[in-house]
Amino acid sequence: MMWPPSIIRLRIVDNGRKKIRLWLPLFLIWPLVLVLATGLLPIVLLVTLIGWGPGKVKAVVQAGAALCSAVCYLRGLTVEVRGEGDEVLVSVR
Amino acid sequence: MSEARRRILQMVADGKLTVAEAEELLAATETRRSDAETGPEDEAAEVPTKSRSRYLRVVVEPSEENPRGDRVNVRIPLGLIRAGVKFGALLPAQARSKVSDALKEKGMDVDWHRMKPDDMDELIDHLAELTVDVDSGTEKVRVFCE
Repeated sequence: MMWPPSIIRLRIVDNGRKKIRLWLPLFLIWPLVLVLATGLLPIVLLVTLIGWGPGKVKAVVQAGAALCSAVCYLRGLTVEVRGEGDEVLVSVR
Repeated sequence: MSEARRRILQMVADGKLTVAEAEELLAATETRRSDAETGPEDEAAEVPTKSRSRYLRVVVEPSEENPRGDRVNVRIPLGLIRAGVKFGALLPAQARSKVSDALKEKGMDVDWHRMKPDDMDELIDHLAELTVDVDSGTEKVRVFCE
């Protein structure tokens, strides 16, 4: 079972002075996204069916699934760059 | 017809392999099959266990002569690359050609139209064996899977 990322950690240090440290709790957003997606999905599929025909509905469903899996696979992504006095860290957990 | 043989022939039909390359691959497949027929013990000894790497790592470290250099540590989940390719396969043909043109401008002359998710799986499986070590004197660059 794949789970979406729960926290994004962001740390930016500019020349040793400006410091930004953020912990973004994504796990608080996912229930809201789930509710919105569940509500919007039938409308999106209906609009696609009427506007573009049944062939595109499959593409929209596949695109949605691919997007979900891409978001889930973000878990574990880490980008860390450290220079003299500067630092950037983006970590998805 | 075996699955491997069918895939090789399909890749020739798709224009991904030349006839000479396909011949080599088919010969290698036949050799493996004949090895397998010699006995299960031999086969077990020959076939390495496939390691399931999860991340592509890029690490840049300053060398001892340049300790103040930049440090880079990037960890990319391989599943994200797979998912990206699957997502890219859903792009309309016009958008794909634009993406290819943009990549070409950046020096990546790869024909993404022909890249299928199955090919990417194969490529990622083989990435597990990849290790790149570059020591330029001022910094060390390592690219590997873990």
